[in-house]
Amino acid sequence: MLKLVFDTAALITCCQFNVHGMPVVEHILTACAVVIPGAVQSEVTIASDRYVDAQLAARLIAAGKVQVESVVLPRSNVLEYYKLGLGEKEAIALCLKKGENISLITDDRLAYIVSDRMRVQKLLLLDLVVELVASRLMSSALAEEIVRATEPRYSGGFIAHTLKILERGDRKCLV
Amino acid sequence: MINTKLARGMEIQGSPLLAEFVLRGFEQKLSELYEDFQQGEISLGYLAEQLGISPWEAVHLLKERGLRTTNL
Repeated sequence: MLKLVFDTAALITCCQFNVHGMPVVEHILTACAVVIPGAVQSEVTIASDRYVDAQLAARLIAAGKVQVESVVLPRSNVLEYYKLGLGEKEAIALCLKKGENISLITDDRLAYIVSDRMRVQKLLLLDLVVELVASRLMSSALAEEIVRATEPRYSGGFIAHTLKILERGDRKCLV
Repeated sequence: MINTKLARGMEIQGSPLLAEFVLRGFEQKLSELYEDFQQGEISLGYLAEQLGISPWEAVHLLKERGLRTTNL
């Protein structure tokens, strides 16, 4: 079972798109332990009176399927130098707190680069799907459907490349 | 920071002109922030914070305008 920390944007995507009548987040939870920082939970709570996808996230948190773990950002920490939101900062800090055996799931370019600089393990959501197939925690067919379902989120190359990786079963494939 | 409720005209119904100014200001700010977001200079969470809304609201707001919700 993979251990993951989600930032808000990645969590929203997983709650918005459905495959086989089930939200993507539920498919992921069958194979992964997901934890979010307090700030991401607060953002869910604020939005859950207006949006169905946020209500889903709130239900998963209430049911304990998505765990919440608080993290304290020290004063004058380096993340303050970047134009990240509190949820993204706490998600990165939570990964640092929990150590090496956990990956940040983010689709934000700045959060990805900052976490890379901090040697935080991180995956784009599309790469998480690839990783689940490689780990035999998800079928290739389901992964492909998830990738196609989330297509509106990404610019062209990301979807086509992910589908090619799934088709070839090789991350290093060039054609 | 722009107040979203004001931007929606919920608290300034008595002043259509003021509502128009606030709404234009909000859209202008959103447009500037979206450009920075697409350049990868700011995150979605930062964009939301600067608009005084949650990231969930930001995603829905961008979708309503036909804009992409990631900067990938």
